[in-house]
Amino acid sequence: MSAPIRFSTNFLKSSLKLCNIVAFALILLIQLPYTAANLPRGVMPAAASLYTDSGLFTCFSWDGSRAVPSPISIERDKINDDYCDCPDGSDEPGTSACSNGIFFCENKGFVPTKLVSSRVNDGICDCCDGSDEYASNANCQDDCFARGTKLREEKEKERILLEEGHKIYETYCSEGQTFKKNQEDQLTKLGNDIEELQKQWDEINRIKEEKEIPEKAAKAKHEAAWKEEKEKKNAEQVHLKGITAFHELDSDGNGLVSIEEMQKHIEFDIDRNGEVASEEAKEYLEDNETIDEVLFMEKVWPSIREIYTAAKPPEQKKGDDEDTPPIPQDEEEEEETDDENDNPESHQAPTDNENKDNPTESEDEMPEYDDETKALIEAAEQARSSFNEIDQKIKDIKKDISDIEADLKIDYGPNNEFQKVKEGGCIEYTDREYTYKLCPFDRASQRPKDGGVETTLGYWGLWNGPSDNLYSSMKYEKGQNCWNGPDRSVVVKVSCGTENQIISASEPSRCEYEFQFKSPAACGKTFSDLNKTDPEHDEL
Amino acid sequence: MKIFKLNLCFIFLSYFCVRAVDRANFKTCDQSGFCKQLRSMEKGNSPYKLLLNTLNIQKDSLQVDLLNNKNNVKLVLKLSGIRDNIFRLRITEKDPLKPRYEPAIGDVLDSEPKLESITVKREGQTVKVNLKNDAVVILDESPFSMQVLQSGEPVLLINSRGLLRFEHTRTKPEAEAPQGILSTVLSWFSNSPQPADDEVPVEENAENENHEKENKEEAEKKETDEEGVWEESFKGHTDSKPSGPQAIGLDFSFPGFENVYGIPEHADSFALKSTRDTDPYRLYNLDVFEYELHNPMALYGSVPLMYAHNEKRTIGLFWLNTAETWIDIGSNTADKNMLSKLATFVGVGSSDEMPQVDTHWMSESGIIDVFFLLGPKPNDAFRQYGSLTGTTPLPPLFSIAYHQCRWNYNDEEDVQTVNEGFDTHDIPMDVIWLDIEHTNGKRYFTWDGAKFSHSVDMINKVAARGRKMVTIVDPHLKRDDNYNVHSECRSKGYYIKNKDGNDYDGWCWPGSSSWPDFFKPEVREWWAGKFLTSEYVGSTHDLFTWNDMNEPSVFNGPEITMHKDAKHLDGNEHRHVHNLYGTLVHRATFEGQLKRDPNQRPFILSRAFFAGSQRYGAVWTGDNMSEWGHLKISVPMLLSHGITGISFIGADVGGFFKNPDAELLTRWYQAGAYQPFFRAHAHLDTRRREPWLFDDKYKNIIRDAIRARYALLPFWYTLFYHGEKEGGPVMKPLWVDFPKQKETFTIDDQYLIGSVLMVKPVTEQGSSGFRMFFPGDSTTEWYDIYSKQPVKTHGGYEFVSAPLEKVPVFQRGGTILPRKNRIRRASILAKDDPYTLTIALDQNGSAVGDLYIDDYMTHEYRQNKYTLRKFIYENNMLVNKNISPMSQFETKSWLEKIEILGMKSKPISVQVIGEDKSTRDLEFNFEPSKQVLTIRKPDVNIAQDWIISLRR
Repeated sequence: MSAPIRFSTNFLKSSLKLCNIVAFALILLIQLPYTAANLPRGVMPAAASLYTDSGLFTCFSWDGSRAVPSPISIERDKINDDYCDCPDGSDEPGTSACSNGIFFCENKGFVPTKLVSSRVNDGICDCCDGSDEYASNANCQDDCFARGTKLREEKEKERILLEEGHKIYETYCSEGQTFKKNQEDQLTKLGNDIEELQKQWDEINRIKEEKEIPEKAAKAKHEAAWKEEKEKKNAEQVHLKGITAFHELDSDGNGLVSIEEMQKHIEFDIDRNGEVASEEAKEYLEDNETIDEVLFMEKVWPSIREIYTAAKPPEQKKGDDEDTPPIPQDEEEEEETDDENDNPESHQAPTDNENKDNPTESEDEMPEYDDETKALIEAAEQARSSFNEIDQKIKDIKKDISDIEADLKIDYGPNNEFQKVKEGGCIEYTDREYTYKLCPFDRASQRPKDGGVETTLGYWGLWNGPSDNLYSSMKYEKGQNCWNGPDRSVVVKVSCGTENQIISASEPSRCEYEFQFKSPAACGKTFSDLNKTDPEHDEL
Repeated sequence: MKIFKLNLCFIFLSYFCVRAVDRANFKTCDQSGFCKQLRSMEKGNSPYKLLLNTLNIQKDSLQVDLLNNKNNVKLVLKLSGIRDNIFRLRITEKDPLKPRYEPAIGDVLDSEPKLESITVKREGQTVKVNLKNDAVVILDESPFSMQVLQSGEPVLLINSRGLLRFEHTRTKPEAEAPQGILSTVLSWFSNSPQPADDEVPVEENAENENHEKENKEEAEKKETDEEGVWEESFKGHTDSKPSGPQAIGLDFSFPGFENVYGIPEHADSFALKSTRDTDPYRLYNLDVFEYELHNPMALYGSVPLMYAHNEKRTIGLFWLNTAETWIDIGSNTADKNMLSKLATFVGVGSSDEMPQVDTHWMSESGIIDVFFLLGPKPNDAFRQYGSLTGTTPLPPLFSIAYHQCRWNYNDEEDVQTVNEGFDTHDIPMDVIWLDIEHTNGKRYFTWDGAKFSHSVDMINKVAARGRKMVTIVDPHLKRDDNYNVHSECRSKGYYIKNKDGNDYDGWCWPGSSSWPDFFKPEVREWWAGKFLTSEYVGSTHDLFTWNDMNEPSVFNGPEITMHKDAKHLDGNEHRHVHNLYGTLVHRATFEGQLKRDPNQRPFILSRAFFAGSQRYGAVWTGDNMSEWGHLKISVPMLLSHGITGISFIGADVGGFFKNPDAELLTRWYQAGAYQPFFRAHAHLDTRRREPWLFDDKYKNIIRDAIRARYALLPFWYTLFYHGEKEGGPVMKPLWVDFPKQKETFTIDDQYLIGSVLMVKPVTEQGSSGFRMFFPGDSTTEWYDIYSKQPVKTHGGYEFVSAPLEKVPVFQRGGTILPRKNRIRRASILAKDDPYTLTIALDQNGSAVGDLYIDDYMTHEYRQNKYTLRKFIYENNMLVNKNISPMSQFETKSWLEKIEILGMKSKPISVQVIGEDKSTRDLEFNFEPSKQVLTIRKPDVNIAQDWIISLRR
């Protein structure tokens, strides 16, 4: 056989006819930089020279855009003879013989396309010029021009969009970077501030501690004196109560308390049988039939003090209250507040004075500090107040620093362009059933359109685009757990748009959501950047 | 999952959840009244005797009465010869009070079996029946038993253990409450010193009718007094059992056999196990949630067909009964007495150590109707079974290619994305499936108005790539008056009724549902009409069907299925027909697709099945799990289905429940690519698992596995053609081709495809190889399909490496394998593509193979529009000849390459001699180190006669 292209005898006739027509068309209509008519079918322009040389054909494979020859060479008439001779598939660019072959459709008027060779003559028109179906029944129409026109329109729209988007992107970048720079500057400044403040803090703290020593001593002295006095007062009161009790018990006023007199007081009913037996009374009287005041005070009062109930309750109650003086409480609070900032409640000492209007209670109040102590307290107070002020300042700055550092840790893109997206706040999208909400770099959620509980779909996790396009996809994870399933999560696919908006939301797998998100932040590549990869772009 | 869905689903899922963990939702034998009773029967004490004076001999059958000594009930036994070495034993009640159920011809049996003459001779107390061929059946009078001999050897014993049981029809005793006491009291009066029934010998011609009657009543009372005989409860469901006890049982023993096979569907080994320490194997079509492996529990389908196989022969036993059935298997050594008696009788020598398998078959109702397939070769038995219940019609090509399924592809866009995804990643795929969510509220034959509003466009887009779609159509119809399928079905009175005569109402996916009665031809006709594109709005001829939940699954029914006392339109209780329901759903759907286009081959996948389901298409093993154990069990399961006729069978690739890791999914694709029905499927709750969602390493291996399937489609298609013609499985146990090799009898982790390939899928995590058995003898060669080198072992074990990218597959020496190595997007796109023939030489340097070709889609092959080529390679010549002279089919496909494996030396030249005798020299390449000869581009049409000749 001498024909350059060989087929099975069965479809040879019909295919030859088609071939002729195609070849004729190629010769007549197309002026290409290389002689297309001599080139085997399906060869891509970049490889043209490898097929036009004379002599044996050397099989080759592509390493990126570089053709790497293999050690295998074949006769030239085996190119496109519908039998795969080259393991790399290079001998059959125009047939489906090699499973790894590449068919090139020129698609004049549209975009040239590379097809896997299994698409050749499979009955489906893959090339708009129909060149892939030269020997099938597909009857493809050449609609490259129409598709080209449409594509050009789309490209133009895309170009405008990309340009517009890119402009915004640039402001996003600059603002994002400025923002970041400001943050970093701020961080430096705050660092310096904190250093400076720390020095002051040390000094103020020193002063505070210095002032607190005499204050503490004076207060302690005052308080010790008060404590002693209070104890004395207490003892007197107890004694007085005992005397009173003696006289109350001594109902016949004979100066002795007898068993009978004791039996009138039900509190001495040891076995709680409802009456005070003489043994019980005697027990309290330390085995005496009667007892005088001195012995009473010495032996009996200490043991009945706690259980004795006075005949006159009002007087008795007063005694109860006296047991719980409020002063120690105040002291405690005052001490605690030393370390706190100026809490209004910490200045209770002055208000205590007001209580003095109440004569019964004021008796038990610690008397005011003397003027000297007051002065010392005042001085210490002032030192504490300055200390609290500076301490708080440092804390505030530290918080600012950690906030900024945390934010700086978030990857807002190579030029911090996504910072603007975050700043823009939450974005909503409503479909047939749900309203979806994305708060960028924070949280994604969903709620039924007709009201109902909001479900967290995920919290900001990471960028998870492919390594060559990391910022094309973000993941929000660890959302609300699905019943009998995983935690909800969202993949947000990010693409260029002139405003930040979600254009679709779906749930491809149960509880695994996907949002399509448009944003100027994703308009990093310009139209020409994107179309550079398309070498035949100019032909449009 | 979306919140609202979750709430809705909760109602249904709660049924599943309860049963997910609770095996107790399904009956054990003890909980199934009749099983408990029949299983506990005393052996060796059969009350039955033949009434030989009633023997009636016809040309092709004999009939004789059979008397139960204990209750005097008479049965009638009929034995008939059936063409092709089959005989049939039928035992039923002589005078039933009402007719006992027998399936209509066409429901199980494909047609009325063709009878064959027999010779009957009475010899004293026995009757000897000579069948055609060398089989003899001997009937013993008392106690009744039968023996089947082949070539003078006993191969089958019937009722040798005396377990024949036939609970006759009877009327329900009145007033249940006093029965216990009153009847006891009455019995004191009427039968004063009444001995136990067993001890009363009843004469054949009992004179005392009263006495006989009393005995009968007494025996009956005894039977009916037992618990659960007139009413039975299980887990809060009461079975009213209006007809009372009707169970049947019979024992069959296989002397000389150690292994029996078949009776799917069970998640168990291929060689059946002794049930001495377990429940019997159960056949009762059930929707079992997250089924367990390695036990005899019932699953979605049933084929009551068992084979016994040994070195000498294969015989089959087909128990034609559609009610709940249990089968006990014992593998005791044969009873010496019985055998020695037999041995004396037939003059066989001592057989002390002869193994024997004992089986005991128990069904809840119906009659005893058994077909014995006497082989003697495995393929003979398969063909014999096919002649009774039909074979799998040649499926359309797309249906044996790769199917992509998921519960659920969410909407039209999702479908389109998946459709495109396969093209983007250059993975062939033929069918995209839609599960229940595509419907409008689980109303089958409708579409979700929002998600699938342009279904015709969607299907057309998929079809534009040569692909097809499948939608699910389940038999439960939503009880919604605005749903026309339901309202029609109801108004026509086509629904199955409950015991009270109202439409049966149960819960399934749509909520409250009813089930059409597919047993009535009129109902099937009506259902079939629903598949017309004018009725099924939004469908096209590229849309095919999936019948799920057709056991039937009833979420709130006993054992998740229909109440046994539900009533069919012909008055039959559901209990009689249960196991057949799914088949008839499948059948009605099949008839629907034929109605839509009589010339287009239907494709329907069914979950439930019974004997005969193979006539209507494919079956899969239901809701398996993403676990290595489930991958592993798929092989023995599919083998069991295959030998019992269900040859178009597969398991969900990847596992239905749970998420497979990349390795398991990859290994499952590799296994599925070599199984008859190849579909990936996944539960709603699982992560997406289209192949490209995994790392390239795995994606590429999965792609290779699918491509390997596509390359072999010509081979698979040819096997399915033979399947239609000859019956038998396409995926075969080793013993089919190596019947005398004992090692093969229990191997169920490797198998044959046709007689050409042997496969052992990798089913262990982390495996990189294993020992594999290479059956045959010193003359048998097996060639590794990757290295093209023969293995060194002949009839033994050899280590085989199986790294992730490899699934061990071997081509048998002496075979010729046709392939299409150009991998297209969908199978039909390769219809004109050229072939490569791989000739694996045997030790004589010969090989044979064949190839069937037609239009891959229509029924025109039945008008002889096909070609069946036979390739014979011998004496250095490859001959392609037409072995079906009546056929006529033209194809553009040609021969692009020949590979000859095991070629010892380089030929001097290779010539092709065409149909017109013209000759042409061919280029070739010989690799001496590999002994592989590659002949370049013979360029001859595959459907023409030609010769390729090697000169040495």
